[in-house]
Amino acid sequence: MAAKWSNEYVVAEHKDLQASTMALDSSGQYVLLAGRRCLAIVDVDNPSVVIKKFPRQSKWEVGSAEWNPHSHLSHLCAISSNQRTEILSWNSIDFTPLNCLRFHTRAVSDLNWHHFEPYLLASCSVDTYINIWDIRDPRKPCVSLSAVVGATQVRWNRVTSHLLATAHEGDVRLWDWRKGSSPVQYIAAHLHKIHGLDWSANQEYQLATSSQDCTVKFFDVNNPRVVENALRTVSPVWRARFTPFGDGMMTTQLRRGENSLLLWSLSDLSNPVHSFLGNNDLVLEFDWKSSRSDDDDYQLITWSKDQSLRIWRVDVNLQKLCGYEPENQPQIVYEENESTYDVSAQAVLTNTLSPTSHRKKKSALSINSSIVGIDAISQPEHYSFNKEIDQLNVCDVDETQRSLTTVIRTAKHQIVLHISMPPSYPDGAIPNFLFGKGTTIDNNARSKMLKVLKQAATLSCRKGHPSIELVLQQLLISVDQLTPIDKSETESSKTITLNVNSSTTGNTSFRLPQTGLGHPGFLQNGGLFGSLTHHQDHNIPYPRSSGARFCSAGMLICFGRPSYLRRVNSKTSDTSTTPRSLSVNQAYSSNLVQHSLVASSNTTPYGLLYPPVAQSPTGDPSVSISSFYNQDRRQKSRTSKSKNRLSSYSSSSDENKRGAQEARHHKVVGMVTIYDASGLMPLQLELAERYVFCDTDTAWMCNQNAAVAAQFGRKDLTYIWSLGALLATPTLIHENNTNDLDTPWAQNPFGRKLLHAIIDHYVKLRDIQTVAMLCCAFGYKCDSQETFRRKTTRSESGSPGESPYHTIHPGDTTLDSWNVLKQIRSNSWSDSLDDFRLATPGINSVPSGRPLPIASIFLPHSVTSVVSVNGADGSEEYKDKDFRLLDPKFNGLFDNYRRCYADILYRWGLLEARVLVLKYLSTPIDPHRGVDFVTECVPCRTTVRGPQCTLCKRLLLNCVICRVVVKGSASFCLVCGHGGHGRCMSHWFTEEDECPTGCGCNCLLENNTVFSV
Amino acid sequence: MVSVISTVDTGHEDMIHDAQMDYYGCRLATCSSDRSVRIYDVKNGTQTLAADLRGHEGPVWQIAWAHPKFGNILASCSYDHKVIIWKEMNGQWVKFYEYANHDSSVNSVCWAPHDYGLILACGSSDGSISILSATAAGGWEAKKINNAHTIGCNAVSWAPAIGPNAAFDSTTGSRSAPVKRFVSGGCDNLVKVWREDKEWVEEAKLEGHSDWVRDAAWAPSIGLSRTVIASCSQDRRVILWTNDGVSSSWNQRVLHTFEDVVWHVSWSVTGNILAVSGGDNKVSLWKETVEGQWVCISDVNRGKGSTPGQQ
Repeated sequence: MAAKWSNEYVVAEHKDLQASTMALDSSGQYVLLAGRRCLAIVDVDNPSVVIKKFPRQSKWEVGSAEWNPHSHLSHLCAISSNQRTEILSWNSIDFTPLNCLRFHTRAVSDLNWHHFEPYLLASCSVDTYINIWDIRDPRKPCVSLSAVVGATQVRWNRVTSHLLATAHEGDVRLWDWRKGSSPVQYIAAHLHKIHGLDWSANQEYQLATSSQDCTVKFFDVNNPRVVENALRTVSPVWRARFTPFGDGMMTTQLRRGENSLLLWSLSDLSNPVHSFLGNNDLVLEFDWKSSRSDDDDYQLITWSKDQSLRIWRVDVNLQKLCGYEPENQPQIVYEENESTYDVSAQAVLTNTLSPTSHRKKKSALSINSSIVGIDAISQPEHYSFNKEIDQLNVCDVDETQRSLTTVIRTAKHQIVLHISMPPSYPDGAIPNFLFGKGTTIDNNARSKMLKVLKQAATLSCRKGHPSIELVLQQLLISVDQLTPIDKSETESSKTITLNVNSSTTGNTSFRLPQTGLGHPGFLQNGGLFGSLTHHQDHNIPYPRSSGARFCSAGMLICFGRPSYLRRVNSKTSDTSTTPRSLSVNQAYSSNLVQHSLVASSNTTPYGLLYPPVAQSPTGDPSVSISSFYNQDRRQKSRTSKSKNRLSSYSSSSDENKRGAQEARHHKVVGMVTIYDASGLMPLQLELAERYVFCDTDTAWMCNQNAAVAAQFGRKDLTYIWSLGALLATPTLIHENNTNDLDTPWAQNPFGRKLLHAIIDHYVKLRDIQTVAMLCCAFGYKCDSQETFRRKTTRSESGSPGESPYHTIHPGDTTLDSWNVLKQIRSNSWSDSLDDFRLATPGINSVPSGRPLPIASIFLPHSVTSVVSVNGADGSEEYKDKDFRLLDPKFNGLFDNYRRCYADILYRWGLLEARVLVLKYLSTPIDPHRGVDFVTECVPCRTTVRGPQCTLCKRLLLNCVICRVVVKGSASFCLVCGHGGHGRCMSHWFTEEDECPTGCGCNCLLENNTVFSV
Repeated sequence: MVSVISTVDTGHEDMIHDAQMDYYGCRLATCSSDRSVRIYDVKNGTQTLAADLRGHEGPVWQIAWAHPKFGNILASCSYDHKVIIWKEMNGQWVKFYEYANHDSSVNSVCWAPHDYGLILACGSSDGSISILSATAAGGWEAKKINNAHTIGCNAVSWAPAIGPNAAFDSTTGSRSAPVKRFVSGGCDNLVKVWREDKEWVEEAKLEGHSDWVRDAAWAPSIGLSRTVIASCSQDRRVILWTNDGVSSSWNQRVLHTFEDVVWHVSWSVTGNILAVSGGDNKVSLWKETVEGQWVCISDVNRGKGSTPGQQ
């Protein structure tokens, strides 16, 4: 964002002149102000004095005026008035009319002197002709170019002498005046009227057009179809001109309220690099006064509709922002390291008499610390602060020495402070502070002040927003503390500030109401939150007022603006895109802020920007974010009204209706719609609910799931599951592989390869459900987890002869130590059961009494036995892993699939299915760390983390309600220790509070207090 | 294929800036310019107000639900420079923690994958990103990445906990802890990827947008090595950034240039549908085809109250 400090240093008002245009002569000495009533000459060095007033008393305004740019004819000035163009001569004392060029039949819209032929002048008019005059022969133009439509602007090329461009509504025509019959080029530049044209001074074919459609476009006139570059602003652009230094562009706006001039760098057109604020009305004309030899600075001279002439200094730093590279850089000292900051502090002093207190002299201090970012892409950043600080004077600023001197005057004291900034400031070093002669505070206070200053400076550097001004602010605060000021005085001074803030419109104060400091850390004692400013908001993104979010497993949450707040997406203007930063709201609300300033001073800090809508039923709701949309709507209705005068009746009634609707719906701003988007997802809750798992019989599992898929019409999945069943059917091995018995089925092309292809396909479809289920069906749940555990425990225990079965591994006891944290969740056993199984593989792999199905031929332990039988045949080349249909190489990937699906099952609340899926993980999930239940087997004297004693195989838990052994989910009271089946307990506690055993424990209450610890 | 489950009248007094359902899809949280956060229980098309959380002194920009394994926890961030973490205790929502160490509006909050613990990332207009982690002792620890984005940070989003390199984990059984990563977007037109390497370091800087980045979202992973990040910007474009999981380079691909500023991108749980919303009050859904092309499958134009297009 552009910094908005003003470095204007001369203002001169000439209310009496009523000049409509301004022209600066080529020497940069005289300014011609021309209007209907008079012509006036002002000396730039003393702009408040009119050297000569030359009464005209014409019926016609002066359309445009231009001095001859050639030095030997610089006394000549052309002004256009209605159909005529007058050539006047200025002899430093008086004007003499020289010629009068009459040929146009209607008003002359623009003039331009030729850049190379001193006597040539081009004029264009709405009479469709462009005339080129040799002023030595004023009777008729030497060339007359005929366009079909009237021209509004004419500009000679600044590099080639024969080329000129004219603007006709939204089009640009290019003429070679040597062959004047027809234009050499048409450029359909804009859809809206072009207000200004300008040629680049150094690139022959570069032309810039500024238009009503709020853009400035750059063309290479040889390639008119392509817009080389475009610059967008928020308001129609009146003039856009290349800067005489660097690669810059200066624009002025044509919308009331947008009175600033914007300086852009052509290297980055997204944001202006600088704004010249201060004009109270539209800027009619501006020009550059070129630098003197001893000074690199340019002066910008502007004439605005409020009849004030302003002269601004544009120093080297600003020019650099536009890419200007001075040949001899005196500041080379600070740029030892290019990647560090380049900081220059510059203070411009303006003394104005405050209209409200004539006694008090106000000093305006404006310090800008421009920080050039480290990376080239990120545009230069400015932290600038504009604050009127009473009591503070900046006396001396030395840019080359990087120092400044300030004088602070309070009721009792005066402090003279020299501040010098070391070259490494703000990158590591802080400025040096020194009290100068004339300081009236004692040594004790001085050291205190120094401490304050250094602290503040360090803090501001560390925060990355170095600012001398903030440091000085801090000093002022501590000075205030030092000398307690009379209370009445503070109050009166506060009211004065308030007045200044609220009276910014329409008086001599040219500043925007910028009262904030930018950084809250420094001023905790208030004031800050009450005055939110551009500085704070310009980098806060414009709030989202609509949006859509995917949530949970398949939900889409949408919220948006109610329809009555809809913005008009008028195709007519480029401003229809939503602004990017919150600061635009200020523009909409600033007028309201003023009168609400007093009223809402006692409300909450953000009252200014965001009063709740409900609080202002009578008033304007436009201070909220919705203001932007309301504003738009109103504008639209206004324009539509004016456009459709004929149908005004209907439209106004329409509007009434809408107004009533708005009143009724006003508070309904927050409708949130929840969509079920699961239809779009490759997941199906119904399938997840009904899919079955079987770790022993893959074919059976596949068949069952095929039936489930068929039930829900998922023919594709039915097919896949049936295929899966075939894959898992071991008879195929015997029937098809008779000649090749030794090759494991998994190595068959229809084995592992096919399965992987299927999985890959569903991965592409993102059908994680099918993928994960296939991974489970063909995975090896118990075995893999077992081997993992075996491997690790063995390495841990280091007792080689130990059997993995029927023993307690040392690893188990370490698990016990995890009963550390208490957490709400583990009232169920499902998790701890998991751990239990991992920890004691014996339980799982104990033959369950069921005869081993044939499918278990795929299970490695049976396979290994097969191999060992055939081992003599030399088929050891097939290892364990070669018999698996899922390549163990990708176990990590398959685990990811399973985990993802488990997460989705969790979202669906299908906890059992989730646990079943997680059991297939090749590496165990991290053991649960939290509250865990341990049961004790009394005869064996061991503690067990499960339903069954590992030693005697006794089932240990009986439900206190149904007296049946608990194997699955269990729930216990932490206080009395009674519990049982999760289902029984939850059923009991839906109606009861106390323990079902009658022990008198109020389980619900007790556990709540336990958990809230 | 998309149907309305319910329409919730939140009763907010000003614009809503965010709305999110919890992990199970049972509770809706909304936040608004009226400085409040509201929580609704949504069941069978009806909703009941469960809580109206007041504590912010400015408009609340964004909210985020933590994983339910930590309890019912909601984070909110606001213009008032604060991040508040709310927690339901004994049926009452209370302020669990308040973090006020930012110097400007906090624009985005996002919880890390639950596998890492209770960790929250916050992006602020002061340009910094804070990482708040719950400690075992019940306190909170804050790390701050200063000047993460010059001018301001607008969005943060965590990478899924499933590391992109999981596919190369062989059967060794050792599961190396996944590296924590997140993506951020800011006013410097950049999207940045951050990695925790004791300290947080900038891993990648993605340049492609020509204006402020308004949102960035890391796509959920289903285990593939490829990672995708979506980002949207004031320049009206949505860009998809992909990384193959092997190299450190990111490919950019413009999904679409929209008519108005794009504010928000959101991935579906399987990462193949992207919801895009922006200043024009419209929502569009984009789906990746098997061939890897992205197609727009519907437009939800709530302004007109029309339902999304039937596929």
